Amino acid sequence: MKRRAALLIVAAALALGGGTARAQEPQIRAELLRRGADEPFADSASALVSATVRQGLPGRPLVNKALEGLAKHVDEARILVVMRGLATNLMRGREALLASGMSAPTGDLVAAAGEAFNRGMDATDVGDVVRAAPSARAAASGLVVASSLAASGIARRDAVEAVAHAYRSGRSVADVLEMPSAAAALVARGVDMTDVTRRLLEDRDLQDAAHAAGGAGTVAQPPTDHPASQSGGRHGGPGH
Amino acid sequence: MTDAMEFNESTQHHLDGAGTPPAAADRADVDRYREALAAYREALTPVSTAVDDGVMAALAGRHSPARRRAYWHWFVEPHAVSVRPAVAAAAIVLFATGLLATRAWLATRALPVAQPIAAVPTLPPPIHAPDIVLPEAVLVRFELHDPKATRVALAGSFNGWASPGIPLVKGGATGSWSVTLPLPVGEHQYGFIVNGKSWTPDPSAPAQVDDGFGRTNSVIVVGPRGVINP
Repeated sequence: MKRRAALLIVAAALALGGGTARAQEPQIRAELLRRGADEPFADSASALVSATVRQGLPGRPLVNKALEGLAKHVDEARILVVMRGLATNLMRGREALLASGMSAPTGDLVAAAGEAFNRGMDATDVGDVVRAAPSARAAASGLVVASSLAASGIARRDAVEAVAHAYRSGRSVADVLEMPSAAAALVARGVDMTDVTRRLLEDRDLQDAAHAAGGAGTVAQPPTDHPASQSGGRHGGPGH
Repeated sequence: MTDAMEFNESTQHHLDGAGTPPAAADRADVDRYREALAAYREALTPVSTAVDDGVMAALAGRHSPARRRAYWHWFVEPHAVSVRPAVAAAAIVLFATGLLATRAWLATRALPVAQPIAAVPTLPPPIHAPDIVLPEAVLVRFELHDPKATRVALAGSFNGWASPGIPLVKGGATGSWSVTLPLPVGEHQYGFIVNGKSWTPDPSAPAQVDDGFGRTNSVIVVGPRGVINP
């Protein structure tokens, strides 16, 4: 019964997405042309985005990838190949979400799952994070964080388990979003990656972990008068 | 009672008040019948008026379902209505006028349009501000140390990879370039554009990923409390 409801929702999304995709195709094409794309590429890329949206998948990740490729002056045929690969991963991401019990995954969540697949995660990884997360938004953030931790050098399964464990322990989305930053602070202070992983898995207080590593690390305290100036975090370093 | 008496045709005629007087035997039957009827009437005890009063009192507060149904039927059943065209036209004009007046009144009471987020006082002059969406923005400082560079810019998922990018400002003679941006909470991929053409990942970024084009994107996850200072 639950599966039938999920299929109905997906079917409705596909039906609605078809109209939306057709309506957006000229806008996407125009956006690509403004960024210097050739007309044949703009036609192909916007058609690919429309086809993806018609399948109920988010189209924005594909558009962003096309814009990134154009900005980097990548060969347009190569951009299309990468876009198709991303579309495939979005599909795999959605299937993994449905398999993990998420009946109607949001576009953000599908995009996060697709990006997770793009970075080498699999359906088990995605399912573990989604099942531990208390909400769809938390699941999307969790997948982003797990992918980022894995990209920072933490073993993939450890990154997934750290996020899932954090949610199971009652950590908030905000806490989970702090994990990459805390891990980076520990690494910057010379803490071994194994120890960083252990600290994350033990779910110690993240700020304490960052401070304990070297003492000087701080989370910039936000002023209270404006939400946009909540923090003056610093990021960057020695040149290339 | 019919079992105890035997009727015959002449008796029935007599009871109906028609025909000839009955014979003596028949008369006896009639008399017996009359006596039995009188006894039956005496045996009947009249119903107390209190019962009638109680029933009527109980029904006093109720509407008749038949009457209610009749009202409802008046609304749902078809009726022949005769309308004068002039009256109908006047009614339409009156309705339209009322509708327009209502719309005009509502327009004067429209809610104010939501204002965009006010500029952050600590920000440098707007840099590609239209490209940056700030649902829950956190200030993040980007730095690149490159003494040989003449120009350094920043582009990423947060500005739609728009080229030539967000310019970094050179800090004195140290060769350090920097810019501070309000970024939404979440993950961002980015890179530096050195001298307008060379895409360079941030060497101090917490994570690097393959961009699919044979190059590397730097990755940063901005938490609600900002980025911990390494």
